[in-house]
Amino acid sequence: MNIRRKKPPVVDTLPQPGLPLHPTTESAASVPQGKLARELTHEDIDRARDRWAVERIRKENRKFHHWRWLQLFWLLAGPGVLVFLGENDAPSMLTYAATGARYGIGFFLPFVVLTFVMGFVVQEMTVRLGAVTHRGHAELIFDRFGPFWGWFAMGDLVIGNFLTLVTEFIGVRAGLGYFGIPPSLAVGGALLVVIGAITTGRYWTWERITLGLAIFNILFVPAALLAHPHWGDVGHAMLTWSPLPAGKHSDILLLIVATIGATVTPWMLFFQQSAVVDKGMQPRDINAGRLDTLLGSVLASVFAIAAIIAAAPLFRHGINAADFQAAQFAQALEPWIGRAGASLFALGIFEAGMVAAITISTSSAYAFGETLHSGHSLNRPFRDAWPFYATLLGSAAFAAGLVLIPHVPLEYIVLTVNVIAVLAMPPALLFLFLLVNDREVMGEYVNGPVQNAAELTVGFLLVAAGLLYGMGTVFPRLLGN
Amino acid sequence: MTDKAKHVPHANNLSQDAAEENLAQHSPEEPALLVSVLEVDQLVAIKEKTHFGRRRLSGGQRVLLWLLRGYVIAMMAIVILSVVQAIRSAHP
Repeated sequence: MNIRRKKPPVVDTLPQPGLPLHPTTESAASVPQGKLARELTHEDIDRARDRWAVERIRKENRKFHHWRWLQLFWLLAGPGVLVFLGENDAPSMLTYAATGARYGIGFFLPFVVLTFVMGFVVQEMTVRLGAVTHRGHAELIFDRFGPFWGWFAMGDLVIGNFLTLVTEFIGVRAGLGYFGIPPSLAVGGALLVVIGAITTGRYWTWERITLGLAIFNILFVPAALLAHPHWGDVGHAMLTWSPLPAGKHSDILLLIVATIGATVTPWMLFFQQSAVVDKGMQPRDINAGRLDTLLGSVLASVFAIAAIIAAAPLFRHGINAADFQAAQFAQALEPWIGRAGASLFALGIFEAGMVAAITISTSSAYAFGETLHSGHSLNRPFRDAWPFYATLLGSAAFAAGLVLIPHVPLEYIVLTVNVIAVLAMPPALLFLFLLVNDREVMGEYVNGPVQNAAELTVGFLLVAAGLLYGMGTVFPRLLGN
Repeated sequence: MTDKAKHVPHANNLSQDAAEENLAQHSPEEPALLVSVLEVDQLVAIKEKTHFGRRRLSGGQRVLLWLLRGYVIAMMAIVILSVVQAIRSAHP
């Protein structure tokens, strides 16, 4: 298969004046039957089967069977929940635990909710982009801005994704390490799960398997309950954003930036848009996609808050968690939340790493396939899209292998991975902003003024947080202690 | 979930109606009927042939893209600096 990038894109369906450039205005039924029969692929048929189920439920829905609405949502939900629970990954959950251990229940609880609101604002736009254009994020960037800017965007994505993928396998190793499972077995097993999820050759099955794993992010909730928090303190913190964190300003700033990076990252943009396309969503599904994204952000913020609460006993008992690594949190928490609570915490870290290893490697593979114009769908069999599957498995296997090499300074990757995500986000947001305001691409689905204001606010906050972090690092005395 | 499909004028209403009539089936074997529920540029063959053209960036947009590119490069240098500082303090 030729995987060289083709020449600059050509539109062979010329638009009528005033209409969107893309041809998303006709049913596939309009394609002549003979031509259709020759050109249909395995990917088309699988996607059409998924769509058929949606349209069937939708038709029955007209008869006011309310439970059918839930059935419809069940069919259309997935990318939004997956992207947010995928982003509640190992380094993110450890960042939340670190804020709980170092600053207790206070400012960071409502701050985490704010970051998920930011995440929702941004991710909702990828739902619209995917459903309207049927193109992935990388493909749109290359098509609309050309390869020069496209490769810059890909560079940010590849670096960020690979480093994050490494931290996921660190989480897998550390989480299962708590139960005495050797690193090679833990990491090898996780890799087998990644392989297992894609062997079905069907997006729908992959999505359901990954969703089934992702829901175990809920393990942090019983761990938090076992920490016996003062619910009055939790309510007070949520309403007043206090007590404010005390201590070295540069440390607080690092955690603030890392907390934002735990929720708003470039891979999420690329992943959700591509997943929406692979799922076959259409403009009429946008509201369901929004609801799916909202559900994902709410679930993920609840689980993130649970991780903070679960680790808060370390703060209450004055235990210094400054240098804690993944499994050390579970061990340190054992006296306060019991063996069961610590086990749930360790399993939660394992699950977070496991699910994110699947979603992030898939995000890389989608972007790679879209960039090179080679097959990029989980509905394709391996022989039709081997570069896509090779990227997915290769990136996961390389990251897993790196984690097993002795004396590699992995702790520095964990420390910086969320920060790198925040720093790489503003250019990604600018591309997103330009695309969702591009009437030739989006037609009537362009951003409204409120959505633009919200996205610009998110972008401004990210740049400000990054600049403050930079100043704190280069001029530590500037921020004081 | 409101149905916002009103902007989609189906080119072949006959086929669309055929699909509507057959929606009671779980999943038809006839591929042409099956894919009638897809939009035309959801088909792989069509997607491979049609691409969005390049858009013209305004001067301000170019400046902003370059500024943010500079921001990322400068910030990555700072991240590397902070990692070096952390390694030095851990192994003096």
